[in-house]
Amino acid sequence: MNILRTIIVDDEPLARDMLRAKLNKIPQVEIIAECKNGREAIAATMALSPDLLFLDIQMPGIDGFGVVEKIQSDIVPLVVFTTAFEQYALDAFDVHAVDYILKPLDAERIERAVKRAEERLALEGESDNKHSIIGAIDSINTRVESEQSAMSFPAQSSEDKLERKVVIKEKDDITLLKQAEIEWIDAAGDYVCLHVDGVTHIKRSTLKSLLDELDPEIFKRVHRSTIVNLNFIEKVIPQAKGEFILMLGEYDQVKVSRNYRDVIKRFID
Amino acid sequence: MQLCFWLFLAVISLFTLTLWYAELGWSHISHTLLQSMLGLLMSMPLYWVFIRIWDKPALVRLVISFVCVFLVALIWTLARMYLFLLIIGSDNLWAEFGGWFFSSIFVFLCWAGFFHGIKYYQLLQKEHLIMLAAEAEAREEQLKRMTAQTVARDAKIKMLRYQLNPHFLCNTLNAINSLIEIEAPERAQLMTVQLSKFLRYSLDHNPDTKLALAHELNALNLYLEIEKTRFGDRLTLEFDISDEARSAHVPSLLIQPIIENSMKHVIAQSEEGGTISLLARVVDKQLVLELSDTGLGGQVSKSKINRSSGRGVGLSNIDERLKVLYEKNYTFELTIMPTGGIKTTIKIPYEHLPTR
Repeated sequence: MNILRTIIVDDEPLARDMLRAKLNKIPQVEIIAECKNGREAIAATMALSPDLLFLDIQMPGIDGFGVVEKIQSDIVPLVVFTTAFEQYALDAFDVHAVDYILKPLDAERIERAVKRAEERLALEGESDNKHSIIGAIDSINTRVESEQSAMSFPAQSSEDKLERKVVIKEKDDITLLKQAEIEWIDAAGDYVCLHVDGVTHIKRSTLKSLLDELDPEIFKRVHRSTIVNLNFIEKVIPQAKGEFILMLGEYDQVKVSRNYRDVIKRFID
Repeated sequence: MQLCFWLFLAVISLFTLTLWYAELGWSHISHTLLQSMLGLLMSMPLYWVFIRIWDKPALVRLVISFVCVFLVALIWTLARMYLFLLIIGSDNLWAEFGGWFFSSIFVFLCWAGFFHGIKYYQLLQKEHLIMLAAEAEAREEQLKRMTAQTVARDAKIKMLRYQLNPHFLCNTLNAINSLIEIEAPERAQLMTVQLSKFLRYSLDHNPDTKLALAHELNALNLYLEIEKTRFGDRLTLEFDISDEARSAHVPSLLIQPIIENSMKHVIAQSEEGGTISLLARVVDKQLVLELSDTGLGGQVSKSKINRSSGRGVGLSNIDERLKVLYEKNYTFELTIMPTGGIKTTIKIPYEHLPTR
């Protein structure tokens, strides 16, 4: 029997108590940590690499969506959202096959979620857990103006040597991100997440096509789906198994896989 | 109608009397027509009398009517007999006076009968119309009353909804559910009792009743104990109430919505939680209430506070209640403090019960 190493995330102590009590009755679940906000959840995920996250959406500071956005897609575990969310958001979950349990939690739904998690973990061929969630977040965010996003915008003129920018279409506005400001990028299926100054921008694009736009001198791959702006690396923390953790800017951390550690080694030297 | 009656009489007498006795001659026919015309004339004063005595008591009417009928019949009889003598001429006519008079009385009684029949029928019709109109009016009145009731009830429900945020109820029930799950029956029970007492308080007190602040604080504590169980150490409270203020009268559930706002926008939004303080003093015969929260610290820009005047929806409701209760004798202010927290200041006239 595979043990699911699980982290519980909820800001309300009673909600954590509840979930813990319910999960303790399921033998294949091992609770390895409990977090009371998004920040702790990200740190715990980085440190403990859990198999499964029970994640509340409404939380102070970084909410449940924020947690998924900020964890690089290479290490996003299976996520089950626990939420008292509005119906329209749940529709988005259904469309993107994101698992969720409506509060108040009941044992049956929790067991079903654990069962699904087990099945997905068994299939496990480097599955991309972030992809479906980002898809759901994207459709929740863009629901308001689905027509506008159809408007095409010349991504970038190749002549533009002044300052390279990345175009982001969100809700009502179009943001032009200066490449130099982007701290790191990770890919989730047909989406990429661009992390700038604590904010995560979601763009419909593949990592490959985005890489063509980026300045290869400062953007380097550090994981299968993660690119880092070398200028933002403030700290490099070596880990076991030849991995590294990079501290980027104020809050963000990114893991470097063994396959790409040479890039960092070269950078440090 | 009159004309019809007398014409009918003329035709009847023409066909029965005149034809029967086979006295078909112009003199007889003209006599019949003339006597009908006379009758028509004679009935006019009768008509006038009947109308005049319409509103008199029944017995008086009966007597007068009969006397008049007799009189008129008598005159008519005399007149037509004289006419008969004049036109046709007969010797022994006066000997038949009794027969003539007898039929005349019946003609006029008949006429009186018709008169009353028609009159009452018209009256009935009129009354029926009036009744219909009254009924329609009553129905309209009822409709209006029902609309007013619906509006009043809606307002009341809105009030109650406002006092008792359904989210709060839902969250509390979830919390109780959790307490049962983790086998903490005493805490679950305590929370159930607190919820029940708080609900009782909100249901018992109309939003426009005033209660001693001490009383209001009891209810507030029930609410806050529940929220404390939910938020744990993220919620810190600082109450500073002077004894004088304790006995002051305040509108029921005035403070709770403000605190609920702070719970929603500060405590629930901040990782470290925050402090909600309440200061109550009596200054210059005014009760001064100051409610403040610690805000979200540096994380929140000014624009976000303005935007979070989703806070404003609940607060404008309070403003409205105060306006109804105190007209212009109150102050209700919101200030954004340098820490990012919001301070709500309420000043109302100091009213209190005579101490028992």
